[in-house]
Amino acid sequence: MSLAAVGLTFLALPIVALLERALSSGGLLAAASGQAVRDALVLSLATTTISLSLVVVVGTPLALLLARTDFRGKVVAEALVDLPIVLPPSVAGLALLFAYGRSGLAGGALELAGVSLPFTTAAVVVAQVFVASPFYVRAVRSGFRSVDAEVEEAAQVDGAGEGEVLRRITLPLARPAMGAGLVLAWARALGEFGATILFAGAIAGRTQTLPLLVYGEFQASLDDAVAAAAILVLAALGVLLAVRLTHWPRGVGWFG
Amino acid sequence: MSPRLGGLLATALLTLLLAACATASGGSGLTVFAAASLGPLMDELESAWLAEHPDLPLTVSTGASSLLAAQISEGAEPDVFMSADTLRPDELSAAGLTAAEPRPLAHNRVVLVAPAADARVTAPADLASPGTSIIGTVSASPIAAYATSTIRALAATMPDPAAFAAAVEANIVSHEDNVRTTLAKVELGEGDAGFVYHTDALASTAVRTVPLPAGVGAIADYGVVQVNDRAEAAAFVEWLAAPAAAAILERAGFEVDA
Repeated sequence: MSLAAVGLTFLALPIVALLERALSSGGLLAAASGQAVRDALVLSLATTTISLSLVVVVGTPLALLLARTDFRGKVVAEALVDLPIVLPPSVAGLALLFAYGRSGLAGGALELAGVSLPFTTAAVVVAQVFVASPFYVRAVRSGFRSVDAEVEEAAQVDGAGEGEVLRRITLPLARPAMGAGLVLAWARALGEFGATILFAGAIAGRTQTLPLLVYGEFQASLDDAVAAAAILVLAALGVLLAVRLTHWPRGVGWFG
Repeated sequence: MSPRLGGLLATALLTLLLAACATASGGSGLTVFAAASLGPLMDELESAWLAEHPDLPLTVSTGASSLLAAQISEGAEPDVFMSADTLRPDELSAAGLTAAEPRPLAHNRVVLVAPAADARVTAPADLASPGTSIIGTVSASPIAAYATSTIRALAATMPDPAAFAAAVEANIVSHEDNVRTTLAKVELGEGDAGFVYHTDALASTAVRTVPLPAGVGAIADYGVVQVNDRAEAAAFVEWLAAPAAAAILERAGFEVDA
C-alpha cells in the first residue's frame, strides 16, 4: 500500500510542480500567446495531424496483413514494426539522418527527385511517423485478431464479398482498437523530441515543435519553456481523461 | 513478515539507495560544467590536474554554456563553471549564485567551416547564395551570438549589407544543441557551412575552414567561475591559470593571456 502511494506520488509530483510553476509565473499568459509558443503549437498540431493520417492510411493495411496472413519472414517484419518503440529516439534520429539525409542511403535518390528532406517540416512528419506507427499498428493488429471469425464467415454465407466484409464487419468491430492505437500514436508523435531534433533541426515556424521549444527555451526564456510545457501536459491530460471518461476503447491492450 | 511491513521496508531501502546515489556523486572529486567546445580538452586537463591532485578526479558535464548556466540558475551546484563567454559567469555572479568573482580563461576565434568533401561554399559570399544550407546553433548559445556578430561584420564588407545579412539568415536551416553538434552536422555533410570555433576546426579532419576577411571573425572570451564554496573548487580555478593548463589550452588552439 505504501509502495503504491510512493509510486503515485513520484509520478504526480513533477506534473504538479510544473503546473504550479506555470501558474505562479507572472509572464505565463504573455508567453503562451507569444509568437514562439503559438508557432510551435500550430506546427505541432499540423504535423501530428498529417503524421497520424499517414500512419492510419499505411498502418491499417499493414496491421491487417500482420493479423491475418502468414508469410515468409513475418517474424522479421513484426520485429521491424516493433523496433521504433524500443529504439532510443536519438538513435532513431541518427538512423533517419543516415537514411534520408543529404549524404544518406536514400538521400542521393531523393535529391535527384528534387526532394531535400532534412531540416524541413516534412522531416518532422517523417520522424513522427517513424516513432508513432508501431503504437497504432500493434493496437490495430490485436484488434483485427480479436474480431470473431465466425461473424465474418456468417456475413460471407449471407452473400457479402470480401471487401464488404472488411468494410461493414471487420473494420467497425476493430474500431475501438483503432481508436486506442490512434490516441497512443498521437501522444507519441506530439511528444517526439530526440529524432526530431537530430533529423529536422529546430527552426521556429518550420521545425520547432512544442517539445523542441521547451528544450531550446529553457536556455533562453524560461517563461516560454514553462508555457509550452504546461500546454503539452494539459493537452495530454485532456486527451487521456476524455478517452477514459467516454469509455471509448474498451478492453484493448494498453487501455484496458 | 507481514506484507505491510515488507512494503515499508522496501520503500525505506529504495529511498536510502536513491539518497546514497545523490550524495555519492558529490563526495570526493570535483564537478565541472564545461562549455561544449572545451569538451575535447577535458580528458587532457584532468590528467594534468590529477598529476598534482590525485585525490580529486573530475566529473565533467558539457553542453552549450547557456544550457549549463540555466541549470545553475535552477539549482545545479557544480564546483566550477567554464563558459564560452563572460556574460554567463557575470550573470550568475550578479545573481549571487557563485562563490567567487568570474575570471578570464582563454580566447577563441569564430571560424566558418564547410564539409571537407564538399565544394559548395568556397568564399564567405556563398553563404548568401540561394540553396546554401547553413547549420546554426540554438540562439541562446554563445556561438550563436558570436556567429550573428560575425555575419554582421561580414555583411559590412559586402556591396549590399542588408540583403546579404537577410539572405544568410534565411539560409540557416537548423538550430543545433551546441557548437559540437553543429560541427558534427557539417562534418557529416548535412549542411554546406556552419560557424564553429577555431579549436573545433583545428581538431576536425572532416571540415575545411573558409577564410574570412581579417577582423570579421568574432573573438570569444571564455570565463571561468567557482560556483561551489569549497577550497578544492578554488584550487581548480587557480590551477586553470597555471602554465600546465595554459599549455593544454594553447595546444588546442586557444589563446591564453600571459
